[in-house]
Amino acid sequence: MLFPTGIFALFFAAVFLGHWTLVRVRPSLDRAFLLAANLAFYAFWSVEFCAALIAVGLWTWGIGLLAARGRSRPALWIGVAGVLGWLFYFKYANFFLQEIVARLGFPAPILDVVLPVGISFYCFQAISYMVDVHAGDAEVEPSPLNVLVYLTFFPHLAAGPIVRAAHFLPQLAVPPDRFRIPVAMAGILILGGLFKKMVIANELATGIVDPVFRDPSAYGAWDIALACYGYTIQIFCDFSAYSDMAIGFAALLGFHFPKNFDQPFRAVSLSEFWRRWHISLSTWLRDYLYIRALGGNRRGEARTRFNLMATMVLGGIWHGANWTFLLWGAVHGAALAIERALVGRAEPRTKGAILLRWLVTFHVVMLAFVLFRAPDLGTVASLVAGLGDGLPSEAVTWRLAALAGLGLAIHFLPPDLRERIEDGLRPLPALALGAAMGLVLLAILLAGPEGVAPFIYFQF
Amino acid sequence: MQQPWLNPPGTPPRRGVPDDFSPASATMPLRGATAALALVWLILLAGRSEAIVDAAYGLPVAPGTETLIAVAEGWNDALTAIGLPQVLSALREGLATGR
Repeated sequence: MLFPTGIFALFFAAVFLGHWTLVRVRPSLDRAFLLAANLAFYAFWSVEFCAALIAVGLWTWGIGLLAARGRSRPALWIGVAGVLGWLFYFKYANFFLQEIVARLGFPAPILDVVLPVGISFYCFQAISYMVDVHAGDAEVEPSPLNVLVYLTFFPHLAAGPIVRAAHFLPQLAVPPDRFRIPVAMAGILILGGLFKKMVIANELATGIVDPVFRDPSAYGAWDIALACYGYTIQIFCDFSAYSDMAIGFAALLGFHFPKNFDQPFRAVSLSEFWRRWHISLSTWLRDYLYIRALGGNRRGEARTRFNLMATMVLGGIWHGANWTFLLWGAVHGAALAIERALVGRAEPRTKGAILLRWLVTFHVVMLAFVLFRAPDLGTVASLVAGLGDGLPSEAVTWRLAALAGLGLAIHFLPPDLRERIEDGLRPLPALALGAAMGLVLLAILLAGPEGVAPFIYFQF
Repeated sequence: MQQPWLNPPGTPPRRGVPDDFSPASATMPLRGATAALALVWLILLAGRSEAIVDAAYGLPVAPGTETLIAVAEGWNDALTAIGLPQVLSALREGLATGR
């Protein structure tokens, strides 16, 4: 079930009414209701995997009880290994069989493995729960129902943001406040997300990115250049849209998720980019992989650079079993290590230095996203060759270029724009606010292409 | 509270939680929120009446499907009589310029 669809609008209306009615008349039933809603949401993709989600959730809860507050480190290791094993089977079994076992000359069958939607985000949250309760960073949760609601909560189930147990579980402990619902904030996030997804991302995808990456040899240099820049904008508008909408829908139900994107393309360094892009994943990788597993920057400069590279390569491979993802991670890891060696944490001071560092950062990110988007390395080679083969560029239009420019311009709006709009909406009575939101929603639906493409990060 | 909008204005964000969601967020009680969302729904139903008819035609044959189709058609016919879908189609065409 995709957010920008009529079926989701129906589903959300039912959940909104059911949830708040139970909060008012029977709060003890609300969490069971939310769990049922979460599973119904997921059942639109796969009924079978609902059982798997529950099984892994109960495993996580049980390990949490065994390993809480420094107890039983072996239980923690077994718990994390169990969840990672489940993830690895779905994501990497065929890659391992075909790329490694078959190349060693052993028989390697192709397994009929279907990747469940959102499995990575689910596993990351499960691991963070087990590790955090073991380390004492989160309270162990005695109720399996609360752990299941936390892990399966439908706004973040398919594509994040990754919400930590220490942040979410306390919100389940007390019923949300039905007298203080942040409707304007949620509305701005949802409508802003819809605009990015429906108007910018969908049109860039269908108009230039998908056709060019499908067959680069049929397109001219300007087409290829716009497709590469366009994909960089598309993935931001697609992914941040999902996060914004997830945060907005959760807020309408009285729950808070942390921010996941913070105008990432205004970054003037790679390290700043990673503090602004997919914040919940980059902090997850930092806390659990870079610091806890690899030792962070406490073991000397050479080891720090190795840790950066290892973290980014593993982050790349997490996206899927493909050499292009590995290279994407390697490019980021190498760029971070080089940046650390050349400029450290020094901030650029002059306007020229800021502009230069912004240009370098943006283009490293953009070129890495070309690797990320390409289905294989042959496509990357075709894109490079296409830049010089002299074919006419007939797919570029002013509209597509303007949309890409708009997607970039969003990053240079005032960071507190949402709060300013909210302040403007504050005096409006509820019906006027509803009318304004409804008309903007309708305008967005009219401005975007017909149909809804799945969100890019559903596949991860 | 974990939800910033439930904290008094001026409350600093929690440590380690990247967040700019202001504790000063405007909030409203459930009654107002329901009214606002109901109006959003009504505008959506009005603006997407043709898509609703298409969706109703695509429903599996089951008890009640005929009634749903009749309701969707009736709703769309009523809006067509006042010219709303035609206006929205013209707007959509205008917004598609250059596509």
